[in-house]
Amino acid sequence: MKNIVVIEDNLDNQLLVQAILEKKYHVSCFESGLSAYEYMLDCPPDIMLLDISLPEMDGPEVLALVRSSNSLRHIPAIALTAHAMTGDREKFLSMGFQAYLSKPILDEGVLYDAIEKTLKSKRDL
Amino acid sequence: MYTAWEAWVLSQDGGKMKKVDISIDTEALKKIEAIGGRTLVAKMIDVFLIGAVDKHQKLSSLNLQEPDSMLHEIEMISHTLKSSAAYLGLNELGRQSHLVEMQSTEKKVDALQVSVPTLAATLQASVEALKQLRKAYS
Repeated sequence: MKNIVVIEDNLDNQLLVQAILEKKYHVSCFESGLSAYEYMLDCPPDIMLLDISLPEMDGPEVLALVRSSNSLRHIPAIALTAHAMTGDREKFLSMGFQAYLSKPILDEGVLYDAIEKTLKSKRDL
Repeated sequence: MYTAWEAWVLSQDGGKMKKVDISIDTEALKKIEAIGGRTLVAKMIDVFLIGAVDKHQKLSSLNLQEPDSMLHEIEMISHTLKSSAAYLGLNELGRQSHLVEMQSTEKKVDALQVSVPTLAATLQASVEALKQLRKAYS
């Protein structure tokens, strides 16, 4: 079973994403980037789902921290965001995310597809 | 399907009571139910209700005469509310949250003087509506 780390500070979102993912994956949820980073150093996941708007350290800053670590830089990341604005997708992909999902996520298939496609196309970072 | 409630909430302008209409799109809740059953719906409502207390208090106590120092906090609260509202079918709360988030991002201080109290009132009314709906998931 693949290991997924979810970093999401909104507990409603976290509950729902966890309920969807734990049917197929082993899921670890965190409310802050730093706590997730510390966990990942010990238990590197296969993929991470990262909210863009986080308190203190936001999603892109967390991603930059992960990419700066030799042991974690290869882990693919999917951006989760409620910012549904034109050009966001390109912006997040240029930041180093492998995929982008707009919240609310209420379609299990969309989430599974994004994860499986990202895992398949995992590339050296 | 929409379930509608009326709630009387304390207005920010002089403490008058005003009526706020709240509709909950129960189709959104059905989607959550399809994923994790009624237990998940109940959990998500509970999480929202617990978090709403602090958010409402913050929105009501912000010093809007000096919003510059508050813009980031307003943006974070409205962003979170927008996201939760979308899941729980609280369309009016989602609309108001989106408006406040955009105004805080664009530093529209004058507009926030009106929209933040309106958001606080809408949140309060949404909480009352959700508390009633929650009984159906006990």
